[in-house]
Amino acid sequence: MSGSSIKYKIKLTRKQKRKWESLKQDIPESLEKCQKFLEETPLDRLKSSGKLKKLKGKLDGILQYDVTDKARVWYTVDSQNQIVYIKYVGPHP
Amino acid sequence: MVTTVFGEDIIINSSELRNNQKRWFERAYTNPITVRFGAKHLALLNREKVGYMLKALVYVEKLVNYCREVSKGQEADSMVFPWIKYLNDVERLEFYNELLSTFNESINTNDWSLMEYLLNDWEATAETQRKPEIVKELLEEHETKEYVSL
Repeated sequence: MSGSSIKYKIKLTRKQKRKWESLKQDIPESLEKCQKFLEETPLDRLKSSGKLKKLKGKLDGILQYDVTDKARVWYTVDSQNQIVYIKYVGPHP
Repeated sequence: MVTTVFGEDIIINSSELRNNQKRWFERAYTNPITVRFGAKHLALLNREKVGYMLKALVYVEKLVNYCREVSKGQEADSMVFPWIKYLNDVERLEFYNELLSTFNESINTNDWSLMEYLLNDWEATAETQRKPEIVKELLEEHETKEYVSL
C-alpha cells in the first residue's frame, strides 16, 4: 500500500496474520480500507464512518473495527511507539 | 384559538406567510413559527433543531424504559438493550452509570453522537463477550517477539 500518510506500524501474531491473509482473499477492498485506517487514524471515530467501537468493561482498551457486516478486527494501540497490535481477526460474534 | 406550542413561537396565518415569506423563513430559523391554515395548524422550524428534538425523544424513551427495567430488577432480560445479558453485574452497573452521565452530557451539549457512541461501544462489548474464545484471545498477553509485521 502506498503510504505517505502511514503513521502506525501494524503487528500481529502469525496465527492472526494467516487469518488476515485468508480474509483478504474474500474481501480485499474492505480489508484494504481497514488496513489504511489502522495505519493512519486507528483511534479516530470520525474518520471510521461508524466502523470503530471502543470496547468497555473488562475489554477496556481494545478497539473493534467492523470490516464488513460479517467480519471484525480487534486491536490495541501503542500510541507512544505508534504500533497497532491486531489481537483477533474473525467473524462477527 | 391557537395557543403557542413552544412557548416562544409566533402565530401567523397563511396569507401573512405568503405575503412575507422571506421574513418568516428567516425568523423561523431562530424561532418557531406557527402557521394557521384554516382549521389546521402547522409549524416552521429549524431542521437541525428538529433533528436534535427527535433524537432526544428517541433516547429519552430508551432511558426511561431501561430505568424502569432496572427499578424492577429486570435489566438482565432487558427488552430495551437485549445484548445486556452478555455483560456481567459489574459491567451492567458501569453501563447504567455511563448511560445516565452521557445522557446528561448530551442534553447539555446537544451532541447526541455521545449517546450513539456509548450504546454502540457497549453493544459491541456485549456481542464480543458472547464468544468466550474471542475474549480469551483478546485478553491473552503475547511477548513482543511473537508479533510479526503485516
